[in-house]
Amino acid sequence: MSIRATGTAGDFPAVLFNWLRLIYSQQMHERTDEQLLAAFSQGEMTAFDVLYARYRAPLFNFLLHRSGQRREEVEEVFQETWLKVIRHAARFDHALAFRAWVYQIARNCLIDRWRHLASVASIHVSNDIALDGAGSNGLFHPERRAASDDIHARWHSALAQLPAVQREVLLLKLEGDLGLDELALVTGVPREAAKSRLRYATAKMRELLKELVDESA
Amino acid sequence: MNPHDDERDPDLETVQRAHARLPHEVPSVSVDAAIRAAAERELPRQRARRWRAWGTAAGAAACIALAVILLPKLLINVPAPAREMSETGLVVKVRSDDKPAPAADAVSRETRRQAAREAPAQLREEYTEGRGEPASPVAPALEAAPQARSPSRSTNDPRLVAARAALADADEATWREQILFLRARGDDALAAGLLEKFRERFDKPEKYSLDDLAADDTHE
Repeated sequence: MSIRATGTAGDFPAVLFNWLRLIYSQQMHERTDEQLLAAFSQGEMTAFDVLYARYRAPLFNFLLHRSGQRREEVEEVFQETWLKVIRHAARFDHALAFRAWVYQIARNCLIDRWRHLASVASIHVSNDIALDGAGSNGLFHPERRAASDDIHARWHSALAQLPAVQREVLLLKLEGDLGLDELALVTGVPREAAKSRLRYATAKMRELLKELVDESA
Repeated sequence: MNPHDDERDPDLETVQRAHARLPHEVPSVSVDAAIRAAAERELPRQRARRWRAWGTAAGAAACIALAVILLPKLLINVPAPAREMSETGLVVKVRSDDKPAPAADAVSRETRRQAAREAPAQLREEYTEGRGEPASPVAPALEAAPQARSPSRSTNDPRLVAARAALADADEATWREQILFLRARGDDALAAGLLEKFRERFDKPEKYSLDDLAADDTHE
């Protein structure tokens, strides 16, 4: 946001207004996710804008990489996730972290979408199969990148080789920066299980991305 | 790294570095606009919820304030004592219920009692301030009657007999006036004797006292 806070004496009201906006905006950016959600549920639209800006890219990338579906379908799930956040903002349990909550909603929306697609294809998909099968049974392939986008291609190729549960935990960690407790909460497994999934996933990814990692080093 | 994850994982750090090299995707502008529009549509409901919350809080505060203001007033109008004591200390009335007496009635009764207490003094003043005694059918009869040995309420007291005879044809107001007249003169025994006759004649209850009589007289 670029706000000019200087001007001539004649522009004093405008300058003052801009200063106030700047202070308000800074104060808004310093708030926690939970405070922003509470402010939105009290009717502050600016709070929602700040919150949305924080999670827009990470959440979208999580869904994109996790689902392996076409971009348009991911956008639908993304939109559905935010609609649920908006609808249930007032009922948010402040004992939880907003980050864990929003990724949990996104994950549930994704599972619902898989179930829906599977029902269209007349295939029964349980929760585990939905999670497990997204990348491995050939129904839903990760989005293929152009051949020129080598890094992307290698990354997605490596990601697709991980078991679904490990892939999910890894993406939640990389995109959402969720802690172990939050990972356990979102994926619905004990903390130690989440921890071991993450460890296996990172070890395997490091092996698969050896060349890429060496290049970046 | 999340601060909760105390263990440092070199593999994770390596993968995070590789991940950081990836171009990050963002949703299309139309999706952003649709989400924002949905949030804006939700705002009136959010604001209504906020006003409801404010309204509830304000209502609760008003109720508390009202209770604080009204409670002392309610406590003042507590029910009167169940027993009412006469001036002599005797129990003259026992309430059968716990209902508080109406405030207006209580005030009226108190006013009448006060007047009754002051009435004898006023009467005494009238009789001793040189204005002469008012025409009294009892006074000449008493003067003519022989004095009893001692003041008594006996029906055989010649003064009482004379006073009753003098009031034989008098109405209730005259009776009251004469009884109070005797009381004002300090002739309490005679006044009490006449009061008994007054109760019999005008169907007054047993508990009807001189105070009640004085109160009725003032009231009329």
